[in-house]
Amino acid sequence: MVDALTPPRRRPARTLLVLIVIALLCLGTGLSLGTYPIGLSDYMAYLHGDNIRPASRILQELRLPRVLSGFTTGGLLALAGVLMQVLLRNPLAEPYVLGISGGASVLVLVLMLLGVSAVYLPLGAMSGAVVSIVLVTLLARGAGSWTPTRLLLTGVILASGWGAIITLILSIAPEHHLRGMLYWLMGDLQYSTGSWTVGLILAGVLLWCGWHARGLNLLALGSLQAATLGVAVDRLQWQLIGMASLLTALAVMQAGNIGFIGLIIPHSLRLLGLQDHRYLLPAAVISGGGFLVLADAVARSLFTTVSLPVGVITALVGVPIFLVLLQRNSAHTA
Amino acid sequence: MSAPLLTLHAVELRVATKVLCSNLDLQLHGGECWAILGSNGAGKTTLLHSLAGVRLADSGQIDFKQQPLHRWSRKTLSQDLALLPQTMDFPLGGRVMDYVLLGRYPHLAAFTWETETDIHIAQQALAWVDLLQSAERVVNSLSGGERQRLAIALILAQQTRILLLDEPVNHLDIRHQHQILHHLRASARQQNKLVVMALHDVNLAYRYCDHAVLMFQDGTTLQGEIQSLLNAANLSRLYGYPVELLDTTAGGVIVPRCSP
Repeated sequence: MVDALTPPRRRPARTLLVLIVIALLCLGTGLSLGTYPIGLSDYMAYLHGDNIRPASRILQELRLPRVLSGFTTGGLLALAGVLMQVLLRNPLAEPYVLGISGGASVLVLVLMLLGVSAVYLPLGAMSGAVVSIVLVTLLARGAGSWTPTRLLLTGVILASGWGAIITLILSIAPEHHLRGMLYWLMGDLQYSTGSWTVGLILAGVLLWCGWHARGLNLLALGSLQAATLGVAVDRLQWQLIGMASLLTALAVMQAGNIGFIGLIIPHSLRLLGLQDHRYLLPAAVISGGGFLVLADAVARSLFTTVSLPVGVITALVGVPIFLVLLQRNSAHTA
Repeated sequence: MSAPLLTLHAVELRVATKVLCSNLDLQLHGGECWAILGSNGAGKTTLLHSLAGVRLADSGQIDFKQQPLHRWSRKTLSQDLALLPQTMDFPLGGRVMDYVLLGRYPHLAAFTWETETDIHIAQQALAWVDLLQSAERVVNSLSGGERQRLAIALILAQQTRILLLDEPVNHLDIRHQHQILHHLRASARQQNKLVVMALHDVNLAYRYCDHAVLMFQDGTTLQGEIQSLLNAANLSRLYGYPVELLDTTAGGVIVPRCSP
């Protein structure tokens, strides 16, 4: 009788495969689109070792680094989003909305103003992110009830506080000292040089996540249930705080404050049936990366005269999704 | 009699300055079905959490298999001890089957996936709570009672020797209340499991449990076989409201008196 009722198992592995193909298409689009379009013949020439043609130079020096940093930044943010959503047990948690990227930006800006060596800037970003996550977690959990409203309110207030400090720093700082204002408030890939180190760190964190994916599934049930199902809850939560901060800090160092990736991507993936973190985590990296590369390609080619910061595009897509999600979320808790 | 699964040595539990129980000595054996009874805020949940090792006793010691609870790793403990929390929510969505399979994690080695056996065990657990037909539904579409049954299925799939349940019949209709309590008692008797549950319904405790801990408002406790404990005097004192014991064709029934 049980067998007759056995429901067909869904196929998350196949979904993952489709996502990889889509991400590759996004990468291709990101490489090809721009003021100087790159065609198939240009790729062929480049792959055959040509580095004299203008198309090859553009690929080598501009497009590849930009696509690389776009992909890693998107992957970092989407992964950070998933980790924060488990940590705070809330699908609305996201590094930008909750002011985590803001905290990282502020610390980097302060260090830059003080003339601290660039080597220490990632450390600054990291500590800014940690401080923000811990603040949000403690304040939102605080005493008493733990509601999405309280979490969001805490995060949003923190984010606007950081925003104000960023504006303050940028208005009093000597212009040449810092990169443009939009970069820190909206996020832009224009200044990013692309770094394989970041890609490696992202891959490392993803591996760590693979090791803990089952623990994350349990943690989503709540810390009490997770503990009695065998998770060392406190340790895992602190590790999550560390990992989410690291990911956010790296993303901020690469591209400033890009919002909503950590919200759009995990949410869409869950709608596709990827609830299990063993699939969701790699899927988030792949799709987040692909999405940001595509968004950046759109931002570069939407207007011929100006290149928009990619944060504008992600916010334009992200805000409506966020609002729908918030509405549905409050309908469930009511 | 076999060695106790859980032993409490002079346990004291406090919340802020309120003493919930002190000097509590208990021996809980496999094959027994315990009820924890008390009025609101008497400390039923706190006692259950301490038995599960997720909260330390404020003084005294709780042993699992003659070793202090807190010395066991959570992973090892989770293969022998399951806890049904009082409330359970599923904020990140997902399907019923995925959640029941979480109960199998304590038995999975690192980097392995659920096998056919695990899926079979999960289906069995769903069948026990009448949710097998809903295995592929998304949890957000479940009613309150169905969510409670899902939470119970999850800990049944965990297949532990010790089952701690915090108000397991919350939100359940009469049929499911009896069906599930019957199943719990049967697994205690037939599979030598230890079942401990906090209950508000004295009649259900009276019918399905063989032992009880009464937690009084003043921090005193009474424990032992349920037949001798559940009398009108004890229960009236326990709830601060007069009750009577009636004999009916369905067995002894405890009812509140009409006017206090």
